[in-house]
Amino acid sequence: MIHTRRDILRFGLAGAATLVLPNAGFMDPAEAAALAEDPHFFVMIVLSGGADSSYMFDARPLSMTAAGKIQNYLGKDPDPWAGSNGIVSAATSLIKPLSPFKDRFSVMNGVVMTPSFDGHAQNMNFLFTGDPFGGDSFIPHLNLAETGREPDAVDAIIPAEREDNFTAHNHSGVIPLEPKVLRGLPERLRQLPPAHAGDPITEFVRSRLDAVAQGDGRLSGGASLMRTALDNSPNVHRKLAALSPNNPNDSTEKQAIALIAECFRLSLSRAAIYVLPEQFDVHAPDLAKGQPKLFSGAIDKVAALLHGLAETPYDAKRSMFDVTTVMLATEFGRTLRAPDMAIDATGTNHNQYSNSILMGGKGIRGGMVIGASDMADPNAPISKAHFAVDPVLEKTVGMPFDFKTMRPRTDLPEAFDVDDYLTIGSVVNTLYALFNVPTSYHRKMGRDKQTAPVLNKLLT
Amino acid sequence: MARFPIIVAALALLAAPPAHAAAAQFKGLSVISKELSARIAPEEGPIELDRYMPADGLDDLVGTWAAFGTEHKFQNGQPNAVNMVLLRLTFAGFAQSLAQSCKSPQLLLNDSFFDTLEALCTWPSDEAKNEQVLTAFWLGIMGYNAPESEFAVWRDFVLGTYGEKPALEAIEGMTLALMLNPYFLLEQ
Repeated sequence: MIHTRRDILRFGLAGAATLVLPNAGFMDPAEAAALAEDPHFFVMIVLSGGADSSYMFDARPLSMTAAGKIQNYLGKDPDPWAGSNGIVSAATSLIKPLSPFKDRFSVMNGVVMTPSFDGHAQNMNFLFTGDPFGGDSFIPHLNLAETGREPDAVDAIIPAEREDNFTAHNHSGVIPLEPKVLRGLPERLRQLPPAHAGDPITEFVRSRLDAVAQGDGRLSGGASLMRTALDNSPNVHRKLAALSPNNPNDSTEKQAIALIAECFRLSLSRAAIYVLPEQFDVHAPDLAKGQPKLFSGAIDKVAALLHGLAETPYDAKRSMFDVTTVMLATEFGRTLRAPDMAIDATGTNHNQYSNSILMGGKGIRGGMVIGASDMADPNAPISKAHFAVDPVLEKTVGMPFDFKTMRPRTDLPEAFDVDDYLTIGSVVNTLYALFNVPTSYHRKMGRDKQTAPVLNKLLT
Repeated sequence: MARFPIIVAALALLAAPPAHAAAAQFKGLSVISKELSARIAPEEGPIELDRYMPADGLDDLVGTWAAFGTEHKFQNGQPNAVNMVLLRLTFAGFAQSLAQSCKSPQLLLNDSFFDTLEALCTWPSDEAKNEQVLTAFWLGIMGYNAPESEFAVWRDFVLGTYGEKPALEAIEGMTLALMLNPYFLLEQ
């Protein structure tokens, strides 16, 4: 049965909650009403392998290719991408499918990842955890009770099957939940009553968990967590049982959005991490030459996800996009070219000194361009700071950044000091500020350094 | 307003000592299946609990090893509401199969455990409630992972709750109650 937006509007908010929530009768009505108060969710779209910013919103003119500085397998000059804040970057024609959303997201260029490492794992870890060697992802922090919101049942879902080579789900509250599970799980759960109070087995198990949790060893700690999990499980059981089957004929993105929307509406999950299938690690020339096609496919998928969010109602008044903050990120950018290869037959390597990140949706001021990378044209001046980290000029480096005006600085620092740059720490701290995550969780610019500044002007 | 007490309670919990900082994790379905197989199944027919999961890949959510380059990391083993729901669902399916085996074979069982189950299938007879039968059943599923006192509490629960119930209901209940025990589920 298909419900149109008109149907939903006709029945009003309460009716809509019933209409858009499949099997809503399975839910407590008070709980469904509470969901409508101040919903705020997060979707992270991951480009895996280190995507080259120059094929999206931080492109370079063909004159730089002619000068042998940067490969360009698109063979076209980029167009200006003017931010509403007066900063202009250069964007390739490949980003056209994202143009309809220009006012709904902002572009951050020249974002510095971890200066000390250039490996995939270290930078992906750094993106998610703030530590090159791993730890807890920032995403579960958006679901802390300390944010003032009642935590959703799980911190995040990962709704697509991928051969992940990163630690996005390094937290047990971040779970891979693919659309295909909807073909069996909800139905089976509807056949089994939740572990409710008064049920003899539930009460017995609870008594054993209480008894074992009395000690102070690891087993007791585990039993204590099990006890909390058992207490929360009826709620999660009902929510998982309320998920409706996906349409296997829909595109992967459409199925993912449908699942994400249901999980958000049901308060089952605060966030979702969507990893695109494309691999952007193009060291070999043949792979690098395929980038126009690679990016075209990926950007189509990103656009499909954004359209899905915009067109899927959250409730009678709001789309999923209205209640969701979206971030698109990769672990790092790429070098301009590889050494000792012809400019028209070169691959690219890793560049942790300049990444591009998109952020939009709820709470984010869209349409802006924030930050920039250096070497914008063949004659651009290069700082000593750049030479210090990249003496052979294979990489672009973020421009020094003025956090007060939120504009790139034009000075040329003598030495590389991460405090001068827009970093992933600031990007994550901005999300933290948006979700009201306590400042004690905010990332620092580095060991023994100040807290990475929040990009206040990016927030509405 | 109704949320305020919940949030305050949640904050109070956060302020408590972090019990999970050094908490045992779930063993994962693969390990449990192997342990169970060694005790109750013949060599040629191991128990594969993941067949009771309703969809592929869900067993990853109850504790699994993940490879990342040269690193191997156990993930999703920390007890949470989702993996608790999934484990209960899985074990409920297994418990049902075991109980249904009284009517027609559903599982390949080794001789020793088959004899134990055969005796239990006469529940609520005195033979089924015999201490030796209950002990054999407990050890078949739990092994020596739990102290004896746990057996005593479980036995009293089974005799008290299912004393006069039909065999299928009793076997299903006693199996599920045993498999959700922390000594059975958590790595030690």
